[in-house]
Amino acid sequence: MAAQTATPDEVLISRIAAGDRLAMQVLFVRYQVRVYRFVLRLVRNEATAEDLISEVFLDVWRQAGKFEGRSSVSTWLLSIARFKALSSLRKRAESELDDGAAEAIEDDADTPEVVIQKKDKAAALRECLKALSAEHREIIDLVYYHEKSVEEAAMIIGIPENTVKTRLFYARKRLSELLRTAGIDRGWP
Amino acid sequence: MTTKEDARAEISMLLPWYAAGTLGVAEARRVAEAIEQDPELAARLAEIREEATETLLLNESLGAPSRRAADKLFAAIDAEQASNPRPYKRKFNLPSWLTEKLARASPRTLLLAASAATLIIALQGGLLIGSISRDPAPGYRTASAPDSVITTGPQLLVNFAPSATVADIEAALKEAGGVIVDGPAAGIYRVQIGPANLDQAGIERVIQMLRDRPDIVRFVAPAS
Repeated sequence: MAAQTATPDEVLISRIAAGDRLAMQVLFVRYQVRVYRFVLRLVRNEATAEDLISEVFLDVWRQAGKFEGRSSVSTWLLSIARFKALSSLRKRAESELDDGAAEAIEDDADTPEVVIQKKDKAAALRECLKALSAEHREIIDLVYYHEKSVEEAAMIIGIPENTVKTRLFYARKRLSELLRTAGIDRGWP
Repeated sequence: MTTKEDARAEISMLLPWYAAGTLGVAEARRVAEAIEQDPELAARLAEIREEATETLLLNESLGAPSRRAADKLFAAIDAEQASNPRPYKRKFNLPSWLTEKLARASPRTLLLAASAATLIIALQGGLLIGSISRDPAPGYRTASAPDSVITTGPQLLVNFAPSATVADIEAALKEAGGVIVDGPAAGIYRVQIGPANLDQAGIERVIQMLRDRPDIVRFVAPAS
């Protein structure tokens, strides 16, 4: 086992700013899966998510010279990805759906009744995680999956740090409510 | 000053970041002390770890983008390059040069380079520093696969605790008979356990062995 000696993200960005295509390939390979999953959880469409990650990394290619290192590269990438995903959702809502229909696509998970039948707590938890609103899914993913600190999550979403904490609190509260509906009482909230 | 209940509520709000290992040192210590004295907080932390595990598995189940995303991106980059060439010419950039050298350096070189960088900063600021710390900052180091990679056998998805050292991880994997064969992707490693014909009970035993080390392994699950 050896310590990682890969080129640091910040170095890749400075090379990309100078037009190094190979550095762009390395950065893309390093982050494509994470950015894709983050976007997919928001837009819930694989083809759209793939289009969006191309756009995200194209922005990186164009804007690398402006990266100031105030956040980590992964935080910067997720910020761009979030903006692209929300813009895409807005366009989709405007062109195809009214607000009610847009809300309806939030939830493609099993109903709580179906979850009850599953009996398996882990499976029920996963179904309830899927059933959360986009806002709640996003904060849960950022903290648990993308391992973002309070400060980084605030930077990505563009909200104050205290709001990040309360948003996650309410996301978890909603998760507990969904679990209770599914027959699993965690005794909280 | 806050009341005891307020303090508990504040700590409770920080538990997800404590579980993820993304709190600062002082805050993490404060949360750890509170958990030790409060069984209810400890129970909530256990719930949060379950949520985190299922969130990781849910995201892992989403797969990866197809080749189309890369093709589209690099076609767009090539088109831009063709219409507005940005020939790659590496410019000397001190911070980038230092960062790259530090990342590739051996611990001994790293120590010297860290001292040199500190000196440059001190000189730039016109300050005379009497003494500077020569200890490199402790931190999480990413593991990679050892030479003898098992090529067949069941695989697990493993997320190591941020506080676990390379030696800790190495020892835990050795005990479990596992080797890292891929990762990390979003903090998750693919660990192969052998032999190839290991039955379900054997796999469960290895998983339990790793779960029994929460100080090193944050979560472990069979890879699909």
